[in-house]
Amino acid sequence: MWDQYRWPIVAVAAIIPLQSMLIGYVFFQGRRRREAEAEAALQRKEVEHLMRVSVLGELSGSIAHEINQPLTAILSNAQAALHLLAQKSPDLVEVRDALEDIVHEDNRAGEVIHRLRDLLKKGERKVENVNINDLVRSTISLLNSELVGRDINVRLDLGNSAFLVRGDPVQLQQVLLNLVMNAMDAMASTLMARRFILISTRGAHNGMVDVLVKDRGHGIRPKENGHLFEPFYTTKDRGLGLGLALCSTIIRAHQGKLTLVNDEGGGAIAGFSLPIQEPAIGTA
Amino acid sequence: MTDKFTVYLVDDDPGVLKALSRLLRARGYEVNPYSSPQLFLEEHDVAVPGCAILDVSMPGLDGLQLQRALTAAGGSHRPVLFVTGKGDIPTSVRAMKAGAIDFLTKPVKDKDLFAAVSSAEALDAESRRLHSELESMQAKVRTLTPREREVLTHVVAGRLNKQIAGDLGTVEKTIKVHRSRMMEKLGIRMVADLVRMAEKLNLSK
Repeated sequence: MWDQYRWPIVAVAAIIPLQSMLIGYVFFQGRRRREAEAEAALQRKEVEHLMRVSVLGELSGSIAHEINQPLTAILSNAQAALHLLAQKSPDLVEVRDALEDIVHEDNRAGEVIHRLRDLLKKGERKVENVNINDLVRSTISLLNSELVGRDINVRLDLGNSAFLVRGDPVQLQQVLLNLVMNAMDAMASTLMARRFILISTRGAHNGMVDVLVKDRGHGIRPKENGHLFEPFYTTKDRGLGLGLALCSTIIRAHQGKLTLVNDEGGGAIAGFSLPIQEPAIGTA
Repeated sequence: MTDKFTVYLVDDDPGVLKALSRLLRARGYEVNPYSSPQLFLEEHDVAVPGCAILDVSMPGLDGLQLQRALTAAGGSHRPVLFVTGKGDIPTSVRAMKAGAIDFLTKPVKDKDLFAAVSSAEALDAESRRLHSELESMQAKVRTLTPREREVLTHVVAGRLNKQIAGDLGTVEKTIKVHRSRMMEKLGIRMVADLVRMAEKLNLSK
């Protein structure tokens, strides 16, 4: 038998270990690729987080102001209530109003801190329904005192329907913060009376919502055109050159598109469109 | 129009505006709160005694610009206090140079606020007293005849009756009559007081 089947037996005996080695190699490669991908994702998350932290660092004055305002109101209300109670026949209705205002202002300060904590947290990507109009409003309230400090007028022109998109609210807020701060920076040498940012949301026919941030700054200079989304390309003195690159990545991960064009009337229009989760009713 | 000391409060943050108004009212002050600088400028009445408390950072017109606009609108003697969330040195220096009487940082403690407002009250009363004194004197001066007015200028310049009579081409007796009528109308007995008054009203030309 050995004499008759020697070669097939040898061949099978050789093929089996070879095949298992091959299978093992393929498995190993797959695992390495998955590891590399996981590492890349982790790094992207780290960078995203770092960018958020740096944006918030720039905004620290503004954020401090947003917390200081309610604190001011709380202190004055509390001291007013104490003064009222020290009177002979205290106006209890007024004291009650003061206490209610204290509760309200405390919630207001709490909300700022809550938003901050979300932005500072290094969390897993969440996917939930995000109301784009609410996102715009809460972003602007974070930036409010920075905008006032830089004498910039802001107008919101938000579509009537509540545009819901699927995505990570923190990442999307990061994109909006970035675009608005770019608009603010672009207007550093614009005349004070002309400084203006328009943020609009519009439902498009193709089931997307467009979010546009329009400024009256220097616009995109010819030599910058086409480079602005490249990582580490920056036009700012202290920029890392990662803002727009990161925003673009985030929006793409949300099946959307980030665009940046010059406005005909001067300034730039930055915007992104995202698929609307639920077909909005009565979209303009 | 009331004669009660009124605090004009301007802050774009409704929560802060309400709270500060409540605190000042609890202390017994009359408060006129405004959420926008423009509204304040429109309604502000220079004739009402009071002070203005302005937030430094406001959209449109910030506190310092508002102070300038107030001065330009004839409210230069209105005492101005600033409240600010930032309280940086350059801003406070500019504010104080422009005549602000105090610069308070948010959150504002009641004691600081009341102290600042009560010193504003004293300042406002003083400037109003001076102003009304000046006005009543001006009214008295207006009752003088042209001749008495002439005599007044000469007396203030230190001329003797005899010299004035020579200057005006009349006799000393007539000058004496004019002079005593003039003093009587102005309610002044001593030449020194007359000189002081003339200086205040800028009459000694």
